[in-house]
Amino acid sequence: MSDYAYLDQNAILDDSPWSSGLWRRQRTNIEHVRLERFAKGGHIFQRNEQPRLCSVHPVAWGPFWLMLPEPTATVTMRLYVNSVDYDGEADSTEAIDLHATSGFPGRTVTPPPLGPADWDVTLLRGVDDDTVQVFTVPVNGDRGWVGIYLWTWSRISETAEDNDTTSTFGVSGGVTLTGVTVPPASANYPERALRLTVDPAGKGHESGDAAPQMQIGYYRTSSTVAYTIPPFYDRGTLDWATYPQGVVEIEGIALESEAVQPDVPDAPAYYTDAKCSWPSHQNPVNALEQMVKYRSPTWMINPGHPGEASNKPLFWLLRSEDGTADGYTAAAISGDNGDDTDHLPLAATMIANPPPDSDGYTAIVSLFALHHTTAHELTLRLRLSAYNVTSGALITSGLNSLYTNWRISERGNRYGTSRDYVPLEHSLWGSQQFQYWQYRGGLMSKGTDYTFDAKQVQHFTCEIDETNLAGNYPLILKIEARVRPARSKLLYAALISAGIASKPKDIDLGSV
Amino acid sequence: MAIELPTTSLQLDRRDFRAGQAIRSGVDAADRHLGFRGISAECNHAYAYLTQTLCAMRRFNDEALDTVTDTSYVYGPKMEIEVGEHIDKLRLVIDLEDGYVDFDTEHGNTVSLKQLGRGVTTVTHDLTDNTGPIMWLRFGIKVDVAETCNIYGWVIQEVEMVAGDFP
Repeated sequence: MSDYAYLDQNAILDDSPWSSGLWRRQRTNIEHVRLERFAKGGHIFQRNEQPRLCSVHPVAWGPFWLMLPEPTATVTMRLYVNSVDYDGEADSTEAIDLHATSGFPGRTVTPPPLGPADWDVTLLRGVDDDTVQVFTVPVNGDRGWVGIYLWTWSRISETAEDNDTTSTFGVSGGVTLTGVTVPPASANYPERALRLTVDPAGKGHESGDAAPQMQIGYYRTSSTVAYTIPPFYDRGTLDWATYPQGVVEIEGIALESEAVQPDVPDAPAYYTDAKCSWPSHQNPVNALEQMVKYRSPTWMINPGHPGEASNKPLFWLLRSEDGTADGYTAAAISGDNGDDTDHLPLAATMIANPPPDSDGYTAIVSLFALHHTTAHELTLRLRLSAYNVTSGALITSGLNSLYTNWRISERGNRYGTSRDYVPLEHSLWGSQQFQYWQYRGGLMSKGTDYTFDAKQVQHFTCEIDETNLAGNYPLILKIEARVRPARSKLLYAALISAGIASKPKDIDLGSV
Repeated sequence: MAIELPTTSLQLDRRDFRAGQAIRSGVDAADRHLGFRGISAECNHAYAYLTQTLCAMRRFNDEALDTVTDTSYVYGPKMEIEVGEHIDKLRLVIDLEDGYVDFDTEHGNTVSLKQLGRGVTTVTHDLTDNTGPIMWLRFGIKVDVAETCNIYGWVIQEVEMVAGDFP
């Protein structure tokens, strides 16, 4: 059992007796610090902007980044559920399955189990409203930035709500459905799954080998609906049908870590008559210093908040050098060839005061390069900049982190010529079509082998030192980007998520 | 009891505690990082100052996060999280314009004075439970009559301990 008991500073004086009890209590206090001052972070979604999650295939939402300062056993995720909807179904009907996994930069994300029966939780319509769902995510002793992913898999109604046949392809790389039955406004659960039954010509299919293809759910506001379609679809006549599906609306997410047990002897090592050994004294000191040096706060940043212009809810148009202005402004900085005005703010957080012994901040940002008119590889520059909270004036900027050979996915919106169908890309483009933000951060699995689209997502880091920040708190930290070369060319890239962590002194957390 | 609570790390070095090294009392200030008293003070520092930021929000383009004209509190969504033991207070620091904020938790609430114009308001809430509770958090904002209240950013933190908070 662990509990903190303060040791009086005069407990040991020169020439006072050596007490086994003091050492045992000190060891217990250190253990208590480990258990009660753990790395954590959370996110409360803004009012009227709570995500409504649904998916006809397993979809991962995230990553929600947390800096793990020490080797960590598990991360607990607490998901505050506002409501569970499933239009047309009775209360207690199984609506949507949830599962949580972890992933680290540059490595494979752990996939969920193949079948929903093995997923963490199944939410019931009307029963699991206003509840907290708790997930224990193993991270297997790893440390550094960890991305926690929330997976969803909606249940689909057995009865189609609407169906028809169409041959109208009114959208580049997509299909326009007209005359779709619009759910009544009173239903207030507008998400629907779409099933297309088409002739999948090519890609190893024989002509006439019609097969159904489920598509993502969507927010529908009119009777005209457009979808992008996989490239192997023959643009002939296709059958479509829409179905109600399970949806979960969430309010907040919290992550809490539990570090692995440090190499500290158990309490009996400090009992009276126990042999005094140097590891019994050195190891607790080492464990304590590890916590003091490395445990620093994390600011989770979910870029899903549509604060930008209403017609740019999904894509973060990373402005290339000399690119067309897109309504964004970024602060100028002197002394850097004058061209840093091209830096584009990607994400931000507010920091009230610096943690003790902080030496600045490190940030991680996850980007998915979708399309560029000419280049296949770009150079990405990232930096952290500090701004005054209320005036917005620039305080200082950190040095640029330079990433060369940032690869474009080579797919863009040209489904007719792209090599593979990438569900994430499809999801993003489809969502852009409707200008809703719900699918930002949604990473779909690819087929039944669960090869993860996250391999297309790349994670980048940058830092800013504490120098020049002192005396300016509270302040705003912004992750800013610039892309080059390709003058006058625009890059379409999706910002998936980001995180910022305090950087302790003498600790380099910048590499991943 | 006198509580020794340094505000910065004492930078203990494990090599000073290896085999063959004399462990000192640490009574002398010059020996603090070498002795038992230094370990105790460093542990107190860790327990008091390794508090965490629970959540924060700010739009990248500085636009308002929320706007209300209601004269009753309009509350945002909730988050549930575990707070560390012996942490007696949570702090909401909010970039607020022309309104009031109510910092509401599962263990009581605290309201602010009115913020006139735009400025940073701090609301410190005393928890009724400091045993490391798992609790929900949220906040609401309101105006007086015929005003518009905006929020532009906010942070919720565990407040660092002071000497009087130690058990």
